[in-house]
Amino acid sequence: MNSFHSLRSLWLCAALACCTLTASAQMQPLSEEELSNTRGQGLVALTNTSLGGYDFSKIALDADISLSANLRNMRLGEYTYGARNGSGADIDIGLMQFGRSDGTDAQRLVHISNPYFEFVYKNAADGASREAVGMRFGFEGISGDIGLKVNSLSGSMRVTGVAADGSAVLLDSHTDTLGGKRWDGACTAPCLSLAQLGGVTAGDAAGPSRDFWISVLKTGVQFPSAAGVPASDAAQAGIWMNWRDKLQALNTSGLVPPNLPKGR
Amino acid sequence: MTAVRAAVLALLAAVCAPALAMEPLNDAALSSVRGRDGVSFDLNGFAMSGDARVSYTTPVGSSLYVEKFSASRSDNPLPFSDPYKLDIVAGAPGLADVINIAFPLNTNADQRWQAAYDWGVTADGVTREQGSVVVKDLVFTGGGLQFSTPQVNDGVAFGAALRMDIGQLSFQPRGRTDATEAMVLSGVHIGGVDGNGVFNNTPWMLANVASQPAVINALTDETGPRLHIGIDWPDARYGSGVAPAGGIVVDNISFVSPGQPTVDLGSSRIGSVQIQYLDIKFKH
Repeated sequence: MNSFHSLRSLWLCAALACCTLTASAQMQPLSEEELSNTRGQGLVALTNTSLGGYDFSKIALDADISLSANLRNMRLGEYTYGARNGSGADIDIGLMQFGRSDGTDAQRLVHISNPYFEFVYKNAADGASREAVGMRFGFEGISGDIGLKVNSLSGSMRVTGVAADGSAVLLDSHTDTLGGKRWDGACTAPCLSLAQLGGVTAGDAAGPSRDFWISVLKTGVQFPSAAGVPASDAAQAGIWMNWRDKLQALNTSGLVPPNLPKGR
Repeated sequence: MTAVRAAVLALLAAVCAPALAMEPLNDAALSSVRGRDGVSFDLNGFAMSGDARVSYTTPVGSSLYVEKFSASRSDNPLPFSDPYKLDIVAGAPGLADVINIAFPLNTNADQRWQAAYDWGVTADGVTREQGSVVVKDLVFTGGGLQFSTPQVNDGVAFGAALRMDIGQLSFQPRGRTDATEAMVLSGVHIGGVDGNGVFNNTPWMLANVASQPAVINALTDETGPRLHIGIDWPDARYGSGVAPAGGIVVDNISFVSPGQPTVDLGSSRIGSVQIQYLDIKFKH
């Protein structure tokens, strides 16, 4: 009998607790403003789009990233290209340094938002006839100082700079007669050549640079651009780098600033 | 009979031999006594397959799925001779102990993985089956993981070292059984490099619980709690103060398609990568 009473008391307590919880956890309406501020938390952002006969599926890490890193001797796409073999690679970058150690603490880091992979397929009615065209890797936003020593480039790049005499100079792959394929960055003065470029400051007071990406493609593709970002140039087949938005040259001397770890 | 009796007597004599006298330990000696236990496990002949699907759905309803994962491993002629090893080891001076998971040394690359999975993306009102990812001859050589208590903040500190070779990694939009349509990466190599960017047959230490710790935790900023993963600056107190360098090489990238010539993009490499600091905060 005692145990029966105990059991009944337990049920009563549970029922009371439920009633209490029900009363205290009543849903409250959100105002329009509160509702607009409410967001779920996600690890990735996913997009499916189509453009120019191609299907694109984009997987972006929904994150803010701060980075200090050094990449050396990057040679991507080493194959023979008859029209202009250049240095023998689509992209030949001797040094790419995210951050610098000769400035302020803030300049040590580069800030990146939403790094992504985007896969490209030729339009098809079903999976059985789908054709793999390639992929690209990029950042939806990047800001900070990036040291660069670019030997040659397949891509679309635009950097503004200030020459030693104070005049404005411009590096622009649009000046290349082959559209930027295995371009050595040479130009006719007054201009800024790849050899004179020691790095870039990405982004400005209005926001980060929004169009950095590198693609691997079997054929040329026009990639879609994010809302508010100008349409990029079509990527050519092979390895292709796009970077034109909000880039200012760190210098015109070709000197790459150091990027040593803290304490060195 | 005499021989047997002699053997028994010898055994008894051995068992009954006087034990060495026990000696008391002083505090210093006692504090240096550590267990030598550990766990090893092997995946000799491992194989799995099935129709299981794992989906990740974002807050806005789009989703990414991976399904029909299959994996198998071939091994060296001596089963269980080169296992994964889990040990609790002493941390660097002043730091907490470390759970250390050492991967098989796999010196002769006998342990080889074959794997495949299908995947797809549902977003913007469209479901796109992306086809299959097929991995052939994936070989891990040494390396491993570490886990410990962070030197600062909450969460879990970890270290990771990787030396990996993949015979072939192919993206096959028409499924794992149709390799005639694919983007193929052949000979993918990731590992430690020397000062000249040449592989030195060691794992690339991406993080180390003492000399360059990684951490996973939840940090709160003005927008609320955020999942955080980071790798701290190299710490000269526990190492050289320089981030280890690793290299990434792909021997060949090509596209194959029925009725079309193969597009060969040759080899690609990043001779040296140093991650000096990395901080990833997931958004709300």
